[in-house]
Amino acid sequence: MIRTQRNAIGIFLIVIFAMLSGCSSQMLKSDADPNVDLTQLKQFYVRKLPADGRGVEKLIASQLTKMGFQATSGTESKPPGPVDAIVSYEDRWVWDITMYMLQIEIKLHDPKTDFIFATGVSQRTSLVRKSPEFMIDEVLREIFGRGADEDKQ
Amino acid sequence: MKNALIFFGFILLFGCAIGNQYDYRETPMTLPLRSEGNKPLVLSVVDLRPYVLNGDKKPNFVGLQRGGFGNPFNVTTASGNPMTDDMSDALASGLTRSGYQVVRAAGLAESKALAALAAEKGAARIALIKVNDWKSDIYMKNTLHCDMVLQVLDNHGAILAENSVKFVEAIGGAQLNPGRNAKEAAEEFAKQMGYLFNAPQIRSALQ
Repeated sequence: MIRTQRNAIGIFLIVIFAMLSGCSSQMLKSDADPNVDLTQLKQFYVRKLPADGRGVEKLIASQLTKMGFQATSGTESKPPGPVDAIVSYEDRWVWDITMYMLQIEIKLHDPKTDFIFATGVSQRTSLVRKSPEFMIDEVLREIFGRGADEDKQ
Repeated sequence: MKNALIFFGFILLFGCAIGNQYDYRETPMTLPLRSEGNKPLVLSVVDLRPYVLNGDKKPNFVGLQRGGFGNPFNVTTASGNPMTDDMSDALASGLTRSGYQVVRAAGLAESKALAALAAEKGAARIALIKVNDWKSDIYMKNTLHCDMVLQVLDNHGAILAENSVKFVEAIGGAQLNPGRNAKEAAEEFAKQMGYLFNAPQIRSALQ
């Protein structure tokens, strides 16, 4: 009986530990078409995700501007003027005491064909959550290969 | 208690690894191409995977899903068709959306036969994709073995341009939901096809 109880407690602790480790994981990765020279891109249009009610497209455009690019955002699928790339995104939010951004994926499209030539994604679970601005910044820096900005919170 | 242990042992060994199927046919594919005038284009996707050619695996084999101890199980196409047929379906849709009138060549590899088909259908160009390897291997990660060559030929069968991709790398973590693994593999296929077609020499040869 005592051995059975000890086994049960051991299994319970292992399960709890395995579940908790999922609360503290992060992932940051990007990929780009080797045929495209990302250093030549200057002007961007961030296409608003229809379901987004948090203004994430404005955050992305703002971050691109801070990085030295020219960026606008809007609800139209096509930009109002010529650009080097159209930016689309998908954000995922979950609740853990408060709502937080679990994942942001950013894609760069050829404005003529809509072909996706670069993507970046950041995923942070609850214990390592960061602000949307931080996550957008780290994804864009990962895409453009500019390294982390340690001053950002 | 003994039955419970046997049951959980079975789950651990095999779990969700048995009987997985992927469907490449409906893979959304946006290619970096635009054709004016609905030009005919012959498309052929050829399976040159050595383990398929020697009969070790069937043509509908798309990869491996491993159980709890790394024991492998075959993953096959949902359609039951050869994998390259499903890939050809997806590519044909992508090329059609790019403005081409696609003529499917059903796995033809020989340039003379392709040229004869192109002449018959009035196509000035042939897109030939040789799949030397394409296999996802899922255990802790989703590792993809990829070796593909894209050739653009003229209507006499002469090679105008060529581009290739070859790698073995993890494209993501293994998901408990087999549908997500399938989606990841299909998205990677669409991405690699896009990159292959986006090479300047390929886009120039297709004009």
